[in-house]
Amino acid sequence: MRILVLALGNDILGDDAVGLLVADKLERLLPEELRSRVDIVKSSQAGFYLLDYFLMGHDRVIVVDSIIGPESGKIVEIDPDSLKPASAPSPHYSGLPEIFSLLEKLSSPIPDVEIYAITINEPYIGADISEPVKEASEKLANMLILRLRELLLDSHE
Amino acid sequence: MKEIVIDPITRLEGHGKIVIKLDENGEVQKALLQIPELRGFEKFLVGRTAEDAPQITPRICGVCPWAHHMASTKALDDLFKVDPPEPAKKIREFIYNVFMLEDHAIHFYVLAGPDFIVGPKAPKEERNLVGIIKKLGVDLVKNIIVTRKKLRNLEQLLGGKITHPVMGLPGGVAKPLSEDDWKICYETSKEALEFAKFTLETFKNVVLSNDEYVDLIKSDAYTHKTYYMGLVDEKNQVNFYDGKIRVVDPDGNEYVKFDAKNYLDHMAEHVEPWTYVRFTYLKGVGWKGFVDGKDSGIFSVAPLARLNAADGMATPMAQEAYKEFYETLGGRPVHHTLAFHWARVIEMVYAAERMMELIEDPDIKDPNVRKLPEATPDVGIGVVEAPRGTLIHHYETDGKGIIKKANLIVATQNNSARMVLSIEKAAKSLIHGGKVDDGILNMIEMAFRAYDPCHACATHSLPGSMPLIVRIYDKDDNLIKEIRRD
Repeated sequence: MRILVLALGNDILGDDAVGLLVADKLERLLPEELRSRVDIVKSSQAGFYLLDYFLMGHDRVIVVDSIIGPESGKIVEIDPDSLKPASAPSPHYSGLPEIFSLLEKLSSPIPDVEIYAITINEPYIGADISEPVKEASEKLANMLILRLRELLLDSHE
Repeated sequence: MKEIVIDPITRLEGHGKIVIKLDENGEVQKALLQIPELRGFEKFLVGRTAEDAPQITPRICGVCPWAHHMASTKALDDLFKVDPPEPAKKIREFIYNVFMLEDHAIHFYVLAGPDFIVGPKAPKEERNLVGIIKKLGVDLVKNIIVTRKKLRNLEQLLGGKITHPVMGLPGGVAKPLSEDDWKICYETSKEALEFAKFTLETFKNVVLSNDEYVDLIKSDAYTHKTYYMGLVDEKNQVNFYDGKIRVVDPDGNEYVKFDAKNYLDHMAEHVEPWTYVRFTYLKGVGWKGFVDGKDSGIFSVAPLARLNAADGMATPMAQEAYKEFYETLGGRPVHHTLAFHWARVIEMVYAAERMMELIEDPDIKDPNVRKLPEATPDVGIGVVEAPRGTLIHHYETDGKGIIKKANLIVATQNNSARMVLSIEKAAKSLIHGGKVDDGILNMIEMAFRAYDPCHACATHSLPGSMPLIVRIYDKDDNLIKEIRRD
């Protein structure tokens, strides 16, 4: 099994960069025995432009992102099935749901997808990543290591 | 008064919404486009070294980073008063056309194409690439994905990175084109040209052979007589990378042609209390409100405007398509907003042909790709045609190249006033007696989707969909109906 960790964020947009921060921590902390089967990609791309990452032949893609929430610094898991496609006027608004339906129709091997997000307040250009969000990134990185270990080492595949 | 709100909520809420106000009879009184734009980049640049701008500004947008990278790089050429060697200019123009082709293809096939290929009134679940698979077959869509991937590989190969390219430097590019890279570029260019030709044929077969669609394109609901702006070369032909900014009036006559460095003499910004968007208009004509016509300074940019502002295309197949475009739609200029889609496809052919021309030019392999800047910087202004229209970067620095002031005129901003016109006119034509359904909503959306709008740059999007909410209020502001699309 090969797993892609797809970390999303804009590195000059304050808390929006948290996905990238989680990826940095993962790159540092990932145990040696997992490294050969985990790829980590950081991207600031939007919507449909993420398609390529789902066509790289991974069995599972773990998306790490931020999401606006009432209280910043909370880790949430989002059910990919809860994201529904909508018609969009711009590539900015076309996203993961469209990619999933497309892969299905193309009969391409569809990787399993897990989505983890850290709640943030409205991000601002040039702002630093806030403390609660930084703390959450540390926690999420550790959670992901456990999850990767579970998927890669504890499974009987 | 009733109020309909089309509210595109992305991950960051409030990116923009369309508010349509109805009178007591359910007729459209007014339409407003409200977008809280992220304008902080100009401030963010202040105090930083100008050389960082081509790396910072692509972060404005997860979709069109190359446009910002190139406009910024050209602004640095101007800032440091250095003219790059010809091979560097050719490499830049080559990769820029790669980007334009890739970006236009996405818009055509993923976003706008479904309206025509699948049908404007088709169920919303089918107005997407999945619907295109049903209509045109899975192989075509696989071809789109493969071709696009190859184009993006070129962006990575030459740019260093896809989303945050690092190739552009004041006075040239970071590396010459190696023989190995040239071969990849050449092979991909050949495939890209076939892909662009195929796309044009598909457009003709599916859209132009359908009288209903052609009537829709030409319908009054999607027509405005405005000025048009675009970059042109010395023969007044379309060029995405360089040239002078040319503006034609609603009759198609040249109104003005100027160097980007003089943009402030010709362009001004109008502010409305109900939106953060700064509406650009022609200074010499003046702001007369949201009205079209020769007396109104509202102008348009992007594919249709570029074709209107030029006397032709610089490559043979695109020129043929250009002629057919104007013959079919009644001569230049074409004022029909939905013709943006056809113009975009013609530009795909031009981009692919231009890629071929440039890659076959022996100069492009010349290792002389950088002229070191020596002058003291002060003011630098750069322009390119982004997929969504004329994009200007303007920096002012101290003698050490530290940015003191930055002004970015982004493409969609130049189209915003016309977009307001389009939404209002489409809404007035389509909504009567307060009756709104999904099909009508989509046809109003089509009025602004044609522009390929790019608001609220700087973020990617999760969940990634754009739910639409239509709320209808009675004259006492009570919610009487809500339509959600999510």
